[in-house]
Amino acid sequence: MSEMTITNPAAQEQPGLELRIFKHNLSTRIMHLCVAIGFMYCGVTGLLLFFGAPVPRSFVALSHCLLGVLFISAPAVYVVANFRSFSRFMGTIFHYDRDDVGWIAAPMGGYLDPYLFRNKPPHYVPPQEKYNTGQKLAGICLVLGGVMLAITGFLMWANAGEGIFGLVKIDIGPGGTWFIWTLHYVMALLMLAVFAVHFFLGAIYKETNVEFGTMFKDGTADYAYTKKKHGKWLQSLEVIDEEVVEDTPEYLAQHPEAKQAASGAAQEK
Amino acid sequence: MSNIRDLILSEGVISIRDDCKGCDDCVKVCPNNAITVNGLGTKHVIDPAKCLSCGQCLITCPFGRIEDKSMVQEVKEALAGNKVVVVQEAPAVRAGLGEAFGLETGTDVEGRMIAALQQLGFDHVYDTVFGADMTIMEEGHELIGRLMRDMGVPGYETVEGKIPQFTSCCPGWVRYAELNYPDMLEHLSTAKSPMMMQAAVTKTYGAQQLGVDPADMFSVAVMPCTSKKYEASRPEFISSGYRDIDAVITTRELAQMIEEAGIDFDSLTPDEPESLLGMGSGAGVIFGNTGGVMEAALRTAYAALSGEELETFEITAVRGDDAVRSATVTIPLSDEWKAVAGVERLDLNVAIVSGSQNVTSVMEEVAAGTSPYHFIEVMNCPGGCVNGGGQPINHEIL
Amino acid sequence: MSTHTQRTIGDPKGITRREALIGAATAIGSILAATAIGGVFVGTYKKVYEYIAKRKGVLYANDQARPLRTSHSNPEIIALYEQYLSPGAVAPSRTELSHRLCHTVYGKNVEAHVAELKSRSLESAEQETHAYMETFKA
Repeated sequence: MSEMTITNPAAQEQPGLELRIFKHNLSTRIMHLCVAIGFMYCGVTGLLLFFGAPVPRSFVALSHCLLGVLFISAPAVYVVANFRSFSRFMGTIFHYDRDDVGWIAAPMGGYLDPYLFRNKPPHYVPPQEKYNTGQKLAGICLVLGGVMLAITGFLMWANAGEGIFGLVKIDIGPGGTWFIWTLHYVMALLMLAVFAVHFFLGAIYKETNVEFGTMFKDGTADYAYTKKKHGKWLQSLEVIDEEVVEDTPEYLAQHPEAKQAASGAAQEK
Repeated sequence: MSNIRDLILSEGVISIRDDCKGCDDCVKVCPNNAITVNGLGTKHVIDPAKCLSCGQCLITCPFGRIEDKSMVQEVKEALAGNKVVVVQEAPAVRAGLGEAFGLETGTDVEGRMIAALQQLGFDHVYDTVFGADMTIMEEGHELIGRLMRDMGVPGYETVEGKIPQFTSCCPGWVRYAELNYPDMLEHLSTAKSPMMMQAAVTKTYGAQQLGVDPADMFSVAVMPCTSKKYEASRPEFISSGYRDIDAVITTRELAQMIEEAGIDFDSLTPDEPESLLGMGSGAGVIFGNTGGVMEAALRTAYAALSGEELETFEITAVRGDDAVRSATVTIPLSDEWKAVAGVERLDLNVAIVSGSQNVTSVMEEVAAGTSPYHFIEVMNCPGGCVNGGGQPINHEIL
Repeated sequence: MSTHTQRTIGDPKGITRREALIGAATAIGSILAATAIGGVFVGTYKKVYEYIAKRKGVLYANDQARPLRTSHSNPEIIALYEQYLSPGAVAPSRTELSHRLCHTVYGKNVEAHVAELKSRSLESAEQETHAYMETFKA
């Protein structure tokens, strides 16, 4: 992996200093939860409908559409409510340089090393931003795919029988229907494939599933992990808060990452 | 054919497959609301009691999940057997068949269609345009009869049927009328459709002229229409003493047979239908378009009533795409007609309806006795038979 | 009791101009894409009926190219009437044969008509037609 030198004073390790990284703010986490619930429900119900499973179709189809509304509304609200976080995210996933080429050449950030290059030394992976190359590419897929799913889904719903609760009714003809439905299926397939990798790495794979806690608990990330995997991001971070904390045994038990800082402080004394 | 015929009469010609996606496109085009709707995304089922077998749902389904009962097997067996197999094909078939072979939409493949039928082994290849001309003769004179009776001309007192007279060559429209306006059927022309007139004449006059025993004849029709399969199965079409039509295949099924026989359609040398029941006029050809039956009838009615031919045969006033159209055609009467009718001319008010479901306003006027029309053409399929349920599926996207 | 400093670091409050531009472009772009795609499909639906007009054109052109433009001028039709349906003349709708072969009934009347067709033979209709046309000539 990459061990770059951190020159940002806010993010430099010092004796007696416990560095805590705030990665995902509250609005981000809420939005992500809504998207996750919406996407997973739509994915499951979508597959059930597509394969003609013996389920009550009317209920499954309607709830699929409603959860689809949730899936696209949460990010839509997020764009307005937290335009800064949204823009920062979009800026990152659309930013690529030589380090990203190196990540792909690694190959794929070194994730394949334990499987394809078992007895060899791990490849060099260039320092990465808040999101590594794979995450950025996946991010583009998920954003564009999500938007396309929402657009095609809306057209499918408005084109069907009564339209959207009788309020929005359109007619795109049989050729249009075929095109929009097929596009919806293709996008759904791609999204499910990307989601499978995203879910595996984020929630299951031992090396990376700490990210699950970061997104679903309090939004904080581990310093050592971040320094190793997203070193370039540390260079741009600012101090948000600083407080003096007592080194009680309970605290140290709950926050193992503070042990070093605590022992460091003790050494100072 | 008897098994298929009974199935068609009880179940209808069209069925929706189990893997229907519930996209609702078929429901939007069904003229008689025969497709069940049970909420978003539910699979659709056709109600045979209301289905017209018109196939509009079939050619609309974006995913090809709707099917029609096939008689191709019966036709193949007849061709392979000892019977004298006779075939007629509707005007609209030649306007759509080429699409099944990748030819550009709007290519007239009449000559190649005839040649293909000959190569498939049909013993006599005629043309339904002949039957269309018959329909004009029979229905045109029926209309004149009803008009003269209503004008009090002596000799026409016993003429039956009411004015306005509705065309009856479209089996989808006929069934729609039987189901929705059972008390107004006296307005329908009693004339059969071109297919059925030609079929009846084939096994009688045709058999005699060919020197063939009609019991040895197998009569086939190629139609742009799935409701013609239903029409041919109706119990009353036995006037020749046999089933007037033994099998109906659609334009799509003919294309399928041509492909399966390994015939290279595009490079066929065009040929003409056989004479006796094969010659047709341009008036008969335009039957496949909305307004075409009306225009053909007017060309003959004009000549019959005025004693002269129209200067311009194209009657653009009845052409068009609107769902309900109307026109007035002034026919100057010949001296003979002037003498018996007591008037100089006839102002014939005609209407054309494209799409059975669009007949409502016209029917309301007729029921109320306020209809200004004398003659009304109704075709079930929007645009006419060229857009029938048996034509190649054409889903242009943009 | 010993203490240590806990420092929380995170993304800076402000965003760069580049990030703001990309954010705005994505948001507006999504809305434009949605309107464009929706508008294109909804707006062009009328055009998908062009294939019908093209097929209609085939028949109108076919009609214009024929030497024979009217049903009553068709020599095979004339032959059919003069030789069979109304022997000796062209008399549509007048004879028993023309009624039997060319006309039908609807709805409730079908059942009785079927019985009638089965009980009266074609030959009897042909004979009646011949007899009628004899008187017609006279």
